[in-house]
Amino acid sequence: MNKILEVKNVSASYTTQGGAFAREKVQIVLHNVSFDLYEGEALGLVGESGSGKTTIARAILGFLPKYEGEIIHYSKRPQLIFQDPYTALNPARTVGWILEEPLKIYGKFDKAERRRRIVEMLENVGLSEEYMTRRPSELSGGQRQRVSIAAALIVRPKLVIADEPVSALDVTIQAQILQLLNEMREKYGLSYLFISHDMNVVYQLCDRVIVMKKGVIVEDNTIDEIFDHPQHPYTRELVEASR
Amino acid sequence: MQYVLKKLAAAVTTLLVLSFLSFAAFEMIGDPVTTILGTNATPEAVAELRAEMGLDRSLFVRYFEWLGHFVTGDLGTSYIYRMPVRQMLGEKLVNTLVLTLMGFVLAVLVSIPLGALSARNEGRGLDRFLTVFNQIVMAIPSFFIAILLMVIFGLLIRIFTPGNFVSYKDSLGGYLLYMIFPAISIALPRAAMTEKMLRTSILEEMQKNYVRTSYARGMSRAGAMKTHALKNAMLPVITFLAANAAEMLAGCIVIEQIFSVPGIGRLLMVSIGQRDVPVVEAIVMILAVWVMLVHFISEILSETFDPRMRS
Amino acid sequence: MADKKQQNTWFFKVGLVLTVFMVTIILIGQFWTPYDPSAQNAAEKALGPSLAHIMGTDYLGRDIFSRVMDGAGTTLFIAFFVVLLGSAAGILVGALTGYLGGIVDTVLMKICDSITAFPSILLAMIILKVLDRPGKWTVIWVLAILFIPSFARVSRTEYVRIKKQNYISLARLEGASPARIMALHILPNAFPVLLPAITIGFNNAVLAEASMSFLGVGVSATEASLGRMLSDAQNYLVTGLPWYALCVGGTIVLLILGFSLLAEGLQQRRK
Repeated sequence: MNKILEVKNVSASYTTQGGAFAREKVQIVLHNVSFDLYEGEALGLVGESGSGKTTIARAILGFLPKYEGEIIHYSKRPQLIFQDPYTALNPARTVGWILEEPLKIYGKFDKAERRRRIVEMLENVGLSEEYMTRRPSELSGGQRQRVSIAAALIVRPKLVIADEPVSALDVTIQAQILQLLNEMREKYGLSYLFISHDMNVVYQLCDRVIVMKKGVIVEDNTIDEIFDHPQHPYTRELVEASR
Repeated sequence: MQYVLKKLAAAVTTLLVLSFLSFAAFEMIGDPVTTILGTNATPEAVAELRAEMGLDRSLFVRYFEWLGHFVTGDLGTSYIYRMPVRQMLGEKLVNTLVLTLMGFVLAVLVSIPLGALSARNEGRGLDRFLTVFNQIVMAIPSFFIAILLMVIFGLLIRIFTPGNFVSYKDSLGGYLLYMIFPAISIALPRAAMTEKMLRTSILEEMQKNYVRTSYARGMSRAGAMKTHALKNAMLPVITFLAANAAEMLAGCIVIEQIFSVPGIGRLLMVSIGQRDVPVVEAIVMILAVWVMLVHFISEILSETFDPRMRS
Repeated sequence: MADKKQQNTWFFKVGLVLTVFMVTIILIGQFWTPYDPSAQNAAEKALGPSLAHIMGTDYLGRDIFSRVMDGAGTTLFIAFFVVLLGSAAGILVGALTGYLGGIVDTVLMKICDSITAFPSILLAMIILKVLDRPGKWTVIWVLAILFIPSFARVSRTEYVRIKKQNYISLARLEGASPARIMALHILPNAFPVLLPAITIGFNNAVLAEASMSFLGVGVSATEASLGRMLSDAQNYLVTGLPWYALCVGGTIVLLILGFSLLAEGLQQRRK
């Protein structure tokens, strides 16, 4: 199997501003994090808030201004799906505009081709052509998340990072979106880096799981091993909590 | 105290930078020698006058000399009238300051009670009337209010004679009676803006949790407003009033002309026209000092009202 | 709360109707006026308002309503270009400082703060008097430049707020250039806040032009504008032509009132 992403010994920290009496404090958020992600693999990144899972995603996407170590991409244009579909879509624009914008920036397609791709992608995520003229405020949470997925996939990325993409949704809608993510993965041969705090959700989507705590990877194993033979006490805790 | 000193230092620095910039700018616009001698003067006469006035020295030397004189109260000598600027300003500066202060006090006296009254009666007839009335008053430029006041009180009721300015040296009562009309002209639109600002500010404050809990504990709405909301609502109003005090000084320049009040506004305009640089520089610096002073006072007041600002 | 909302849509509606009405009359005045604004008529000097002359005539027998239609055009022309140039430059400065941040942001905002501390009408009057070149384009440039800081401030606040939104992170991820993000992604979202600021800009520009032309430092003597006409009319208050000043002043008030109600309505609508 080919690697699509290599994360090598990544550490990151930030300094809290020192006040008149408080000295500057160095807060370590990532400590020596290393893992590989393979083509077609769905990797879950699990941990409580403050464990560094979102920071590592930001580093991979290039949003983190300063970190040590190395991150090697074997694919162009990794895309991101946000947790909150209410903030991920430009409220002033229509769905059609939101989906066309990445294609325009990419710049290789004419207007007819762009439209063909938008309609095709909308169908893929279970929305009809009519949605092109709608604004995000006119959509339900589930529909918005479908549009977010369409916007991420329209440039045909190889790697998609999903930051808690279903945790803001109702349970029934959650299942639909997870199913959609699975379908898309098969259809386009995607790799997922799936960030979540919910082991149940991870179980439905991922092949492998990395468990993080306080900026350190405490366990990295296949989904079955994690659930059947959790090694680290924190992993055990998470698995217990999900039952 | 440290905060006050820091703010004071910042204000003084701004004033220094500003004074240098305006000094340099006004030096460029008018060559006083041409102003005084005209364009047909002989080169010898020009050189002689330049040396006599000290204009052959560098800009920096002259600036520091001017600054040194300014802070000790020596405002220089007019190019045109060859008399001390300080003497020219004298009574005019008093008139302008009295007018600005009268306008300011009027605006505060009218706007604060009305704003509180309007907020207390939110949504009721009185509040609605005040809101609409306010919106209209805000749209009337002060120079038009001045004209209306002149027509009504000067021409119809004849309480005062427009154009017939009474100096405070002649009759203090007559002076104040005359000055009240220009003061109202400046104050009205500003009072309307302040009233609206205070009303909005109080109502925003009333929405906050600590006020809500206080009247949930049995305090009346009016009581909660008086003890909590009013004080905190004053914060943005103080900043706004400082801007008002600065704007009113600018308003004076227009209003003085309509009512023929001898103030620094007219002197400023005339002096710029005559390229009488020392007079212009002195007035501009006085205006700048006034603006920095009101902003400085408002910052100190805001700080005493709200210790959270201390950072 | 319900009646408050009602009052505000009422503000918006009245403001819209008033503004459209005033602007329409002024625009018509650029092509057609009931009388030639400069035609003198010795037989009809200093008449009060009547059906033939709805605002009366001046001391030279000129129709005041025609002159107001014409002069208000100059005022509106100046206001339009002041707002257009000032808001375009101000929004751009706000976008650059707000989106990019850093040292440029600090320096530019410090300059804006210093400028806004001083009453802009005072500054404009001093600068115009110093330049000593009366005319509408001089007024336009001076006012437009002085209006930049207030627009920049509003725009900067919006850019700082919106750039933190997730959809902007996604646009960056898609490879959109900063210019593209500022213009296509952020600007439409900042618009609901910028629009009332622009409307208030009209309000302030009309007021500033009128004040300055009233003082004689605005438009040139050959150009008619509302401020210049009012200062003209003021000379005839005492000689018994009060309606001249009242009609010209009333026109200024209605123009400003329209814009201010519209701005108020727009602002409240957003909430």
